[in-house]
Amino acid sequence: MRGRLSFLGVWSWAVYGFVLAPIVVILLASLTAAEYTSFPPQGLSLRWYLEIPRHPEFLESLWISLVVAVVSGTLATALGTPAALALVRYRFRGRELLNGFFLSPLMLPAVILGVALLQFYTRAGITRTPLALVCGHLVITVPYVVRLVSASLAGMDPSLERAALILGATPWKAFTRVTLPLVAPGVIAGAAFATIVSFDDVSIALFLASPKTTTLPVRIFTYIEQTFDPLVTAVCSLLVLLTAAAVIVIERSVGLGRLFGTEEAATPAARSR
Amino acid sequence: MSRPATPWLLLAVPLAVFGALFVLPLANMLLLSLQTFDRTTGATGGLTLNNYGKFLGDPFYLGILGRTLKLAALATCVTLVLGYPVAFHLHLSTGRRRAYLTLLVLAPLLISVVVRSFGWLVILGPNGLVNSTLRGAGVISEPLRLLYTESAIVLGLTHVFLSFMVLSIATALGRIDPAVVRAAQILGANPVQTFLRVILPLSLPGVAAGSLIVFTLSMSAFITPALLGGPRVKVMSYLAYQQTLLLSDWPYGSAIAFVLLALTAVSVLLYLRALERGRFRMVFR
Repeated sequence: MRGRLSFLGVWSWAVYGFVLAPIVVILLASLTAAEYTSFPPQGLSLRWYLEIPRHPEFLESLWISLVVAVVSGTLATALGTPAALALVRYRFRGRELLNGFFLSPLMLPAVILGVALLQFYTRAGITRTPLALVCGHLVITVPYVVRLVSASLAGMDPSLERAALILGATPWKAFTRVTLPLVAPGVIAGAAFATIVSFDDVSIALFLASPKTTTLPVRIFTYIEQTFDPLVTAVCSLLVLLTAAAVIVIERSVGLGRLFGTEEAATPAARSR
Repeated sequence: MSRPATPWLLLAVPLAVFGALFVLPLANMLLLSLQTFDRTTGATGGLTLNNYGKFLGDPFYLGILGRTLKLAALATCVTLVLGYPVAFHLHLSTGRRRAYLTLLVLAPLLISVVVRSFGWLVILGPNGLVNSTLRGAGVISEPLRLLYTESAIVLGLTHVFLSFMVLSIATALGRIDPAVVRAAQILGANPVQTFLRVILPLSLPGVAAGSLIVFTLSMSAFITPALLGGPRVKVMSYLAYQQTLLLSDWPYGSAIAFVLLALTAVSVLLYLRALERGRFRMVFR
């Protein structure tokens, strides 16, 4: 048994090394003093970080990304939460079908959605506006909200709400004072995930972006397609640090496991030990 | 609380928004894929299957389709081989250690795919980690061309989708009743037998689900193949992007998108059928 354990350990840490390698490489390569991206970096300096403010297009794109992500995250939560409520709390004809319908954008390749949205929004005349980006991102973010809120609703005891109603609360009061606080972690996780998915998206934004409404990941993508100099390495490593900060905040507040729905799966095994 | 109209009140707005933003664009794309490309007006004319005929009749395009399938299958196999032991290791760990390992598996999912694929550009590039090391060791004098190859794409896809495989297998391992494992040990099975005859078969639903996720994501992945393969090693998603955005041939781009969609759906169905008929079909019920 011991021999197998150590094989597993060595193998796993090698794989974790493989997973972290490109991220570590970006962080180190961004510190280069040379004119070209290389690894190991040639000399150490922060000159490429100081170069970023001279390229305002990256900051403009970061701003657009943040605005689009927050707006789509909020709207997706506002749309997905009532949908999840209807799908989990009520039994009606076509419920299963509708559940599948709301989750279906997740099965659809993002590029296909991008192509379809570009063609349709051009016809509707809203391409090259931030509105197009928000509309596109709603399609890929609402499913996550529906899934996460449904999961937390399904784990909630419906008799609690009934108890509130029996004790004389109005349906609205029972909802806002009992149900909503109980599903709040699911709603927060859904909102957080929707915002992250919107912020990270390239495949859809690439089709809908115009020079004035280019999100940061799209800006980086098109930049890398041309050339990869240390400037973009520095931008990428800032993005990694930003994500790391977000990961820490999420882990401390809701827990990453809940975000990915692995929490429940992990507990029975943990309990059996 | 349960007046029959209530769920529809809750669903009205989300349904209307999804109908307008999701269903209409897809219907529009289907219509476009059946039209003819016209340089001045975009798409014109009556409905025709010419775009699909053009794709299916051309060995060049069929080659890209075959490559997409091959790279997705390879990425799935590599993630499975790399990921199974990691999932098992994660499953055996406990307490805080388990929490940290889970974080290590999950956190990369939150870092932008562009950034993660870019990391591989730096590693595999002409002045990258691999070429610098090999040149420093005197193995090579000229940098090897590692980027813009099929291997680079498989490597990148493996890296981006590995977490899904690990999570899926770890979940299945967590569902195995520990009493079954103990029963095997009490009945005299050695650790290898216990693993091969009990744990491995019972974890197959996780393997199947993970493979399915990684395969479909790899088939339709765009950023990783676009950055690590580029125009030199095209896959279906890149072809759809190129036709639509770079060449503005919307009808043909739409047809390619639908071919990719149909191909993914057919592979998933065939795979599920194979599982239902396979030797371990009872664990999938």
